[in-house]
Amino acid sequence: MQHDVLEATVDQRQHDAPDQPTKQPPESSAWAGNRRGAFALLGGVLGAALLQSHARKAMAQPVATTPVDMDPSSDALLLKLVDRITFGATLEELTLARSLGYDGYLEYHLNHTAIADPDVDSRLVNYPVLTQNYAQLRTTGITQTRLQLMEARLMRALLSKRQLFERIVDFWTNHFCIFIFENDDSGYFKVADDANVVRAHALGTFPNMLIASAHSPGMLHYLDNTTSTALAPNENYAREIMELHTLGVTGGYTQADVVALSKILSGWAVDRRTAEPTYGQFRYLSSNHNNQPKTFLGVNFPGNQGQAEGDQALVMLHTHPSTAKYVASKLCLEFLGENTPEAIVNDVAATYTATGGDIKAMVRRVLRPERLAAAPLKLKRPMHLLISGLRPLPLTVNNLTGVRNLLQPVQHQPFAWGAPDGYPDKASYWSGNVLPRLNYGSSIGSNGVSGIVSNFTTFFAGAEATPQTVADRVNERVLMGRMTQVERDELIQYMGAGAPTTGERTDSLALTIGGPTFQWF
Amino acid sequence: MTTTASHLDLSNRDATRPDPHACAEYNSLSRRRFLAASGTTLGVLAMSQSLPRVALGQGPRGANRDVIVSIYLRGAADGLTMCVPYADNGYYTARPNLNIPRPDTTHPEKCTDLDGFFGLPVPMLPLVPAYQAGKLIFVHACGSTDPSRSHFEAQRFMEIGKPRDLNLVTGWLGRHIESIAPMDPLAKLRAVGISTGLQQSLAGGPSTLPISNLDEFNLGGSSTTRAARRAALADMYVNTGNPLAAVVSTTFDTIDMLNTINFAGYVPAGGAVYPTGSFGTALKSTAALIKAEVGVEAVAIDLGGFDTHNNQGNFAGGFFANLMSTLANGMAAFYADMFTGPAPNVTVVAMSEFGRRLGENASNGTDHGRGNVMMVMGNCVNGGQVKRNWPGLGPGQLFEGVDLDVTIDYRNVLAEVVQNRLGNANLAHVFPDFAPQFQGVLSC
Repeated sequence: MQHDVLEATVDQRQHDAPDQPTKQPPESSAWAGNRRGAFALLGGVLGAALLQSHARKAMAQPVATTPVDMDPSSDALLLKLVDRITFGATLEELTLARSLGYDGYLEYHLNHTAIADPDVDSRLVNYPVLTQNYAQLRTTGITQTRLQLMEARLMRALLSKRQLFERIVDFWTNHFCIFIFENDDSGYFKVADDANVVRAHALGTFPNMLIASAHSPGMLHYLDNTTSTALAPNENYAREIMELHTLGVTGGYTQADVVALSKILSGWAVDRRTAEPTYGQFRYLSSNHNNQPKTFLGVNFPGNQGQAEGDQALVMLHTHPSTAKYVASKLCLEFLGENTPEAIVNDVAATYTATGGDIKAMVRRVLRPERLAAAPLKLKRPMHLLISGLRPLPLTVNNLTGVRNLLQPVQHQPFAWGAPDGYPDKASYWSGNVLPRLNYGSSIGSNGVSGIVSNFTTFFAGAEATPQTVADRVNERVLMGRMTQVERDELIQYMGAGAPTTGERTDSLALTIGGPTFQWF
Repeated sequence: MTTTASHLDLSNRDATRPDPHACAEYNSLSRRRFLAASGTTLGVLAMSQSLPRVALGQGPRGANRDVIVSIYLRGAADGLTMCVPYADNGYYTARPNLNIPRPDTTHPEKCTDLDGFFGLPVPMLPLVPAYQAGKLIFVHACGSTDPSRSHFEAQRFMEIGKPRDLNLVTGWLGRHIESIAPMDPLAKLRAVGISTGLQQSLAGGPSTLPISNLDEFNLGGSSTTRAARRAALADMYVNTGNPLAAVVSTTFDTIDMLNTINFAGYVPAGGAVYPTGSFGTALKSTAALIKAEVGVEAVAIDLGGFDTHNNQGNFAGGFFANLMSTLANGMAAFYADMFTGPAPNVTVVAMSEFGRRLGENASNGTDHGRGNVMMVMGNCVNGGQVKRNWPGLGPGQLFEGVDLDVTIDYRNVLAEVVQNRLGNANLAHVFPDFAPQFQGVLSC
């Protein structure tokens, strides 16, 4: 297959493809919904790199915009919603969204327990560690525990019909991050944390999730609260629960508050008595509790109140205005992207306060149609990209080992972020390492994802005739009609004259998954 | 290497400093630099010995500029163990269990005296040759002026090079690269972070990529179609104006560049043996990359795991002891490889977001603290000393009553390196709103 040098194809395209009229965004703000505007706010790092290296070439061409009509009833906005609340749009999801409408589709996914999920249910038996207690897990061993925990997570993200639920599970997993490779116990304890903290409350209320997390052996162990003694409390958890889980780092606490909270929470630990039925579960150790008087966030704790001091502190934290604001800002980052206008964050924070931290209510406010319409595109993180590349295909899924293996070198395996702040969600963090993005397409297109077989005969059935029909099929089923003219031209040129070979067809799929449009959602 | 209680013998320091023989020799031997300056391919070795260094320095490759290797110890390394202030009794008072014994004891884990005040614990002793040669300096009670004890805030503020700035997103190294002409005008890759995600210190740098493994960097899939697929992808990104276009182009150029380097077959000089594991591999690949002279000016390498809240383990087999061994063996191998034979000039800096609490906690660990030790290694380093303005570890001398204070802003150390070894006088751009006060960590 011949391919001319870059400059020649650029020039040729300039003559072949006349400028398409681009729709003006509804407002002049860069936080507006067309692709050019969407990209404008990706931050100084990406923007500066683009300008420095490729401004001339890029600007010489009309910037490919997706002509999105952001009217709340528009198909484009429905597709954006499908993209934002799933691990990758499929025709099936898009069809469902079209039949239910914007609010109806969102409500359908928010009411996740009403969504039948038989495929996932039947597969859970393949991950027996999920139902094992601490003692059983120790018999199973840490290697199997970690592998099954990670692969079950990936299986659900790929196959669950409860896609918004799985997306927000991902969000809270990062918010209450526990690193399962910290040591053996952090892996064992994460099993119960995943079920009883994150999945149990992901679409419940934030206060309940916070309280569950504060009683979670996984969190208390990971952040060293289990090692606190009355005289020498460990500050690690006390700091992170304020900085990362509730108030945020600018939420108005001091080092003295960290020390006070570490004393308040001293004694919150794990039951290490092997003969007890509560072995490996939460245990309050009064002998390790600091009974001195404390002052926490300006409130006097007289001392000698035992575990109730911690309960009181947790209420202070989850009712604190900084927590409402911080949780709101993170949900906005998750669903609307970076640099969400403060007015929206404040509105979502008000919803937190008014509803007692009801997560569904906050998600509804975040995803008001006009807000999603104006939100910039987000860069898919590696796990999201890989799974979204698989979801549109006719798959036979035997296991998720290959998916997990592909995420290992980019360090985006589930539960494997080494710090308590969770995987970053800034484009500037993930945008530098593009090679795996380009290679994921090849892995998928060559059935190189171990454990998963894609039926490309079915995928391309009826579309094999010409490069144009192949490109159109990929556009329809993978990009949902959003393929840019540039990408279509490149695919057609790549396939060359005549009926595309099977290799050229799957390469077209691979190039699309590795291509520019598919990286964003 | 000595483990006696006497001071380290510094008499065998490189006698040629501050005009280091090794780098001058290397400069004149560098084939690519010579070609760039002379435009001829003949008589390189024959002429090289007589080429004056100053003439080479005016060449386009910028012979007087060092490559910088920036090592970040993530998680807040315990500098009070890595470089022990054994002569300050406050140290032993606050750490009855988690200390390193004085050099004048018979304890097998006693520290080795550096200067009559500080000592190195056993796992750090591989660094003694570099220290004795005067090419390694410790800077103690050093760190950021920002009082945050949050890892994430402190790392961010340190890497952007400005405390408390919530809007600045570019890093000090990235702004350095951005504000100076390329060392090699043809360089495809000017800076690299050995990482899956770009370190914030490098953010904003042109032609800068994170690469987790320099030896495994290529477009996948069939080699038959690779060139055509690559061309299609390059066109797609560039011609759609995608924000990733520049990175994709740099990535493809970097693939070509890295493919010219035989990382797997690289034989380190000076008998260097890099430790196994990702840190040693990163340093070894970095050495190969720098010696290949492909125009890379800055490399950022991370070593993590320093957040030792419990069971810190300072002694043989302990967690922190192993981590220190990894660090010291890695830096010692890099020293042997890059500093004892011909190689391009390199300055290595090592830092951490903050130190650890002076007093040990009840979990046999240490909580978040403040002042810390920083290391600089290079041919022009004023080494063989522990630079400090020691605030003391006694009552009334501690930051907030509990921590070693910061008396030397880490930016003073970095700014001196940026200006005098990286050749960038635009310090106001690299470290905004900061008036650097050089500490004399460099001799040239």
